[in-house]
Amino acid sequence: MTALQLAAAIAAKKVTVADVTAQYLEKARASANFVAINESALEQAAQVQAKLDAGEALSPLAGVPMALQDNIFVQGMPCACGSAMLEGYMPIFDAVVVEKLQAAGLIVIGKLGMNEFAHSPQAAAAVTAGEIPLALATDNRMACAEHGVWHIKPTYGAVSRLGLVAQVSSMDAIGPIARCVEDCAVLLEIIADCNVAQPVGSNENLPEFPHALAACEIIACAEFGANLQKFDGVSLGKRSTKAENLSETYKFSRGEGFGLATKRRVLFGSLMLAGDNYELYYTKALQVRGQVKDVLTSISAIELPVDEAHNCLANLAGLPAIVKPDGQQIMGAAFTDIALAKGVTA
Amino acid sequence: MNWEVVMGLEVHAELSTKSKIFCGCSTEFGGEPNTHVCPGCTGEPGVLPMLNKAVVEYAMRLGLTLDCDITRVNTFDRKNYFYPDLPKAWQTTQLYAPVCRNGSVGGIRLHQIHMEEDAGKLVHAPNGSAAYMDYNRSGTPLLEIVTKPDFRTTEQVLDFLETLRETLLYLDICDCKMQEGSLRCDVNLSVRPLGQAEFGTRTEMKNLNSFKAIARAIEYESKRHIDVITRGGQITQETRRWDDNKGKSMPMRNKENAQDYRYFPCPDVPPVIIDDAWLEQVRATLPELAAQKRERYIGEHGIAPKDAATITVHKTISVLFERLVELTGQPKEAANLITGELMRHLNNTGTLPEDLQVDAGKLAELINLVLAGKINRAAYKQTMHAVFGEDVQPMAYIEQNGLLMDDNSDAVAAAIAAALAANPKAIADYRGGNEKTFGFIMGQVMKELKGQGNPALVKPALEAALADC
Repeated sequence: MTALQLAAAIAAKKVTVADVTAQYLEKARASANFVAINESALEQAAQVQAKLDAGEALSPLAGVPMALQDNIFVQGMPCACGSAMLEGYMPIFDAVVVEKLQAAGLIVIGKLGMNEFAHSPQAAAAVTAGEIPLALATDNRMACAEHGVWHIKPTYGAVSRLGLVAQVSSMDAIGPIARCVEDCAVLLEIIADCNVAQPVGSNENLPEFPHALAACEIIACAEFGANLQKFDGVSLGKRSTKAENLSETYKFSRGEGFGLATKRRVLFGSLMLAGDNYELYYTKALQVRGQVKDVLTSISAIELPVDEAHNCLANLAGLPAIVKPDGQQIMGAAFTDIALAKGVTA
Repeated sequence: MNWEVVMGLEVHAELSTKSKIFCGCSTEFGGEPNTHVCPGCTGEPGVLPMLNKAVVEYAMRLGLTLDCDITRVNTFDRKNYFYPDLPKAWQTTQLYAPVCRNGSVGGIRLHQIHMEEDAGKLVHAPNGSAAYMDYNRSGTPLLEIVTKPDFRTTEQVLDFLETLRETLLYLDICDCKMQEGSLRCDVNLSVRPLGQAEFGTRTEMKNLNSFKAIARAIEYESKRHIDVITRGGQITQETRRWDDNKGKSMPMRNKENAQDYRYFPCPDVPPVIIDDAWLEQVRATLPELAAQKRERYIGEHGIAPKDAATITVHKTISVLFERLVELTGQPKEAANLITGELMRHLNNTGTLPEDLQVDAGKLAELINLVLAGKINRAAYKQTMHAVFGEDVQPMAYIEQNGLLMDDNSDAVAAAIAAALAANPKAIADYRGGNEKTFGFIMGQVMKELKGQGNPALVKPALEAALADC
């Protein structure tokens, strides 16, 4: 059953929100993909049910359970981003997307695990396995293509980043994962503002961007490294018990708190900004980004494989990309996400 | 050998906007630690900055006043470093596109002015066992004003700072309280043999908390440079901390000197475009500055240049002056009040002009009373100090203390009779042609009237009495 079908069953009073929520809570508790459970989900289900019974129109997905990648804030639920550094970290406010989900009557069942400050194979796996009908995750194209599940990496800026732990500030975009593209589109409409009609653009073959991937890595790692600096064991991040002074606090806390892949990205990013490297690499990466943006502003919709070399284009230009179960992606013009998704259906 | 000292300044002015540069928290100084904070001030993840438009406008005000080129596409950059007072581990500042370039202050050329955020404060436990973070100041907006190396003397530095301070105050963008750190100054200094074109190696001095400290630090550091070079040594380019108690500058830890801030454009703050319309709108609201006020006070009100300078020493004073003129129509009385009794009050009580709190309406009432002959000058001054000190109601105070002038002609006549009877010699002298004695006799009459006599009544009555004698 798709999320929209489930919502229709709830609206038709064939099932209650509480029953559906209880069912998915059970699945989530039994799943290794979940890292945290929303213990007040049943309470929220009752509230949504009451609103529906009172005839309130919430959204086409009202009452449907869903899950969030563990880098999105829900007040009262830990948010660890798959990192020992943030073990037990409790956000003190709800992400904007969470507020929108609540207003639309969706029930957050829990949080899905992720590679440290990176992708969430768990989110793709949980939706594929039917452990949850819907999930939200930051750019998760690789994992979703592997699992053969739908995912929209939305236009940069269409979805609020407030309450999302920043990884790559100029590229981070929260998008839906679902078992059909309609579910993705409807969920995206709830959290985003990207309903520009599809422009008549050219669909010519893409030119080669030989430096796009390198540029993307340089910019992404530089921002990633800077964003993770705040986790230093002083006021944020797990403080090392071995540290006896301030510099040891930084050194040991970060040494113990981050995994190898994270450290490599942080160090590479810092290196790209250090001394003369800024001019040698970073500014050139920004130039490449500008060229990619310029060329891609005139596109309408292009089908591309899902791989690093192609994913980086939508990241550099901030464009939407829809991953299909066949492992391909459709990249389109900025803020045409919904139109693009509807086009894919047809 | 004759040496030339070359200096440039980096001045940090904390802006007096109501809220911080990237969030809605209050910028108020002090307060219980961590009470003016939000998740943004404490560096929590998941928070995004929202630029305060007023900060850009304050920068435009200063830039327009100092004839700077205003940058039309403003961007912000991140300056990265680890320190507990900087919870995000980066400071959002402007490196690549500062809001103002060029411009000048009294012949000193400006390099640039840029917008940035302040850090929090570390509070150390008295026994050194712990340090606590206070993030109230975190995110307070700053303008950093960077000059070219145009200073050659301490006087030039102090003059520049005085003019800048006055400008910031009159533009109403910074309260300039050095003791609270809202105006801070770093001095870059080098020396070279007089006539040499190349600059010497410079050092940067931080932690200069008063004009006096700046003067002492320049004196010390230039002497140190000359000593080192004269003895065949070399100056190390470094940042030094001024210790005003010891009267010495000391190198800061090498780590801070070797810092690489890894600047890069901040991806969270979109560019701010200043278009012509916005610029003109801000230009139209530029207030009258101290120098313009002085000119106007002299030309329009006939105030002496020296008094005009005193009145404009601080914005609060000139505001008071203008209010008094507005309420009484008596610029000279108002000027005298300020340069005389008000200055005496500030000096006697050690009050800073910016901390002055006085009800202009009450002072205006006093001016009107003395000019209408209801009170004499002594009562005027006495009541004025009671207004300064205890904020009394003038009329109530005057009545309670019996300071109203006595217009009772019987009482005046009696006082004159008594004074004449008690001072036969003075009267004889007066009659003998010594007119100066009149003042003495007049004083005796006023004494009989316990200071409440109205000179305008007493004088003609006394003259008549003396003529009749």
